[in-house]
Amino acid sequence: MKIKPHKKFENIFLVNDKLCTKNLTKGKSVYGEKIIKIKNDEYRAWDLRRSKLAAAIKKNIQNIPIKKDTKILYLGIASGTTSSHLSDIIGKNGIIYGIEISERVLRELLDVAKDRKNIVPILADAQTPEKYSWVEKVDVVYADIAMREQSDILIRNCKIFLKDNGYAIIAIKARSIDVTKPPKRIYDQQRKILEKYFKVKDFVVLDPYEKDHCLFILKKK
Amino acid sequence: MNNMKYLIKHPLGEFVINENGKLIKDKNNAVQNETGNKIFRGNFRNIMKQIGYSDEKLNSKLTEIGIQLTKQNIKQSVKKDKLIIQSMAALEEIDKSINIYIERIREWFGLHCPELENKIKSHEKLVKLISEHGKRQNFKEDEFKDLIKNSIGIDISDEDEKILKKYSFFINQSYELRGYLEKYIDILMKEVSPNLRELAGPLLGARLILLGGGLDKLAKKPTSTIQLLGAEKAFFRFLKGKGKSPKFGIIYQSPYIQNVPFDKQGRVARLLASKLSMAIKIDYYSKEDKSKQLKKQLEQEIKGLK
Repeated sequence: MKIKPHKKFENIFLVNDKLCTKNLTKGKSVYGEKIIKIKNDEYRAWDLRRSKLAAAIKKNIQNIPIKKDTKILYLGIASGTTSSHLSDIIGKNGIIYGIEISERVLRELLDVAKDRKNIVPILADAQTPEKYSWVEKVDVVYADIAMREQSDILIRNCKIFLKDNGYAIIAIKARSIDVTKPPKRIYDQQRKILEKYFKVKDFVVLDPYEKDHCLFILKKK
Repeated sequence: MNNMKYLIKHPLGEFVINENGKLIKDKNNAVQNETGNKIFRGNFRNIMKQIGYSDEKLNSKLTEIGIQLTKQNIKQSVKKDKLIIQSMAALEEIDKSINIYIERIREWFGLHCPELENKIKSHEKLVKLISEHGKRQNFKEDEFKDLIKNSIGIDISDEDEKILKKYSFFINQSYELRGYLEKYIDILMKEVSPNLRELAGPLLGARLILLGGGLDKLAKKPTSTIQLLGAEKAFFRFLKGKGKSPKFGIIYQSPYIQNVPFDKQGRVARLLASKLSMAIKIDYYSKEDKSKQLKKQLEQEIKGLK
């Protein structure tokens, strides 16, 4: 078993060249992912096809502002696939506030949160952040909501919850915005909207792992 | 020196802070506003340290609370479709009952004035007038004058009149309750199943939820089942060997099917059922409003049928 830490990113590892994070909850797998045991540690394989951030890392994104102890607001947390890996990376002193509008899907997250103790499930609509205004200011806002106004929703949430000099990460699904236009044009349009509030630090297209998706790493201006 | 005190209401409890983010014990004159919330939000970890919370302990507590609140909220929203089932069943029962009562009042009042009973075709109107006027002589409206004059019905006493009025009033109340139930179901449908409500109308939508046994069960059913909900008798008869397979269940009531000629109704039923199935799934799994697109697609598909 060859294990080496990722060159650029804290708490992310490559086990036999497979992207992994160190398991915060030993013995437990979240979505059926492979667990690799090395000495006393467990590493969870990070599925490139199910997690957009993993796909972005594989496509050589240069900047990821998520490290140990990071505080994150995750819009569209769903059942916890990506967030379980973020939970591994940030560790016990980091926290993820997970906003999800669908009860059915958030229900799956409840057990994951109970085990890890650093994920706060919140049943709410990301379009009305007033409903979860008690959430603390965070270092990173991560948005994975497939809606046409996703960039505006991200900005609205960042105005309230993102610390100065904080970062935002947004995964954009071209088809949610406009099925008829070519994805590249949509990415450019979204970039213009995002540049009003952020500086674009990094951008990567997620094909072939996710069709017609891209990811932006943004810093608050 | 500015002595602003801010009251903060947080799931972890109520706190009072000053503008520097320091916790204060005295609640008097503390205001709750966005300025205070902002200060709290920005200094959360420091404030919590003042009452002895380490990061790890705080996170654990926040997670616990998040789970609790989520469970409460999930409980609330999942129950509502069961309310639709009950109120829709109640509506159907009231309709059946009203029909029976109307038959009765017509025969009963018809003894006294068959002419009036015959003339007033609207059940609701008849019941209202009887409960207001009672004996036929009291029907003062012009349209009834000739009918009452030479009525062949029996004369009734004050006591007879009293009971007729009471019974009619009771039926009138049933009509009111029925109207109220319809409005209530519409409100519930808006909240629980907006896409289905747009596509099928609030009542047909509620009936589908009733027949399906809940929105969750309905969302798991295949389109063909939704197409035939309500036609179980004909369907199983067909399965046993007798007769043709039914083309639609209660979705027959939908204007989409009513407004096309017979030879197209079967195909429209299939197209409608598939859109309804999508609407139901959207309502159950997300809260988006895709009703406009669904309607547009359906109308185009129906137009395309030759």
